[in-house]
Amino acid sequence: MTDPKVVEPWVAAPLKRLAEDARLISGVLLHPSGRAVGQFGFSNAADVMSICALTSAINASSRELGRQLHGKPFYEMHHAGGDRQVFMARCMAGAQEFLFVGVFDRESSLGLVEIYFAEFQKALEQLRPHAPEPAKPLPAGDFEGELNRSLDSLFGRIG
Amino acid sequence: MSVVNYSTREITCKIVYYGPGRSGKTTNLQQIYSQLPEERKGKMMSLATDTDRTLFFDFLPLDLGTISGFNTRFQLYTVPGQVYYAATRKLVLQGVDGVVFVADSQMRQLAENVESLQDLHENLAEDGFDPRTMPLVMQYNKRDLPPDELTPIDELDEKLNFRGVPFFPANAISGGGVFESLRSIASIVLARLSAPAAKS
Repeated sequence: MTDPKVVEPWVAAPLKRLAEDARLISGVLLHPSGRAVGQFGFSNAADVMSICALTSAINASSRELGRQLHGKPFYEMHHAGGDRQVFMARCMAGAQEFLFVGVFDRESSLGLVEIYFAEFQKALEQLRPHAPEPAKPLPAGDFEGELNRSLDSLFGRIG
Repeated sequence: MSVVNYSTREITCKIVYYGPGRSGKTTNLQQIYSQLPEERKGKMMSLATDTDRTLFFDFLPLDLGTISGFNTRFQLYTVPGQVYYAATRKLVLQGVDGVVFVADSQMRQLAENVESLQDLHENLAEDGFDPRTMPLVMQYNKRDLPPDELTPIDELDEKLNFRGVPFFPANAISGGGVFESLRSIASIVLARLSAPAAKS
């Protein structure tokens, strides 16, 4: 498989290992708000954004469903389709919560995915940065000019 | 907050269309979706009820192109406007970078607009955002309706726009004001990114 594409570099190695060990076809690690942290198996950024938005919504709904049905939130979901299966779960790294959604086929199994997902969680816990990286400003350059040209090309000139 | 990935040189920003029920938030996204070229947009998702009211959110990813060497992408969300979907609105607002407040210009909807704006402020504050500094533009929608049914722009602005943010009269069904609003919020959100220290 190709290396995962990540927003936060420290998740790259655990994601790669999870993908290989659990034989996942694709997967996305995200914040519960729907922001992608890392992914493998996707080539289209818009698809990743859509999956993150839906996963975030499913996570929120399933937690509430769990509370309604048996008083405790559901933190893990699994769908077994004919050819492909989807595994969705939360994981913690310190106080930081993440969601993961992964797809696998007959080359893997739910049990295998769960075993390596537990390893993945441990790796996140070990590797997590203990202080957030300070935000860096974007290079100034001709930022405003480029922004306006891009907006013009997308929306047309207005006003 | 915006995600800036320096290794892959990507920026991702989240814009939420907020406002009372039936003010035209979903119509805004449908207009944007219908007008943009295929290569600049993803699939539009609508999680709606069987009566076409937004149940969870509408979602549209779009590609703004390269700015300062960064591939820049926007995620456009709407929230369900109905009062009883408060928890969903709060969830969708998580990590927001900018808000387009879509007000319904009809006179009889004025109180709903005010209530929705207060709801926005409360939810932003609960999520740890300062409602006074969150990038915001106002859109006064449905200006195509008969004038005697409409609240004048000045009055809407006085009642809703106490921050004096950019505002746009709109008729989302035909597309009027839709791109102006999006362009304005995109510009404000990205301009903040270029000098976060100075603006925070």
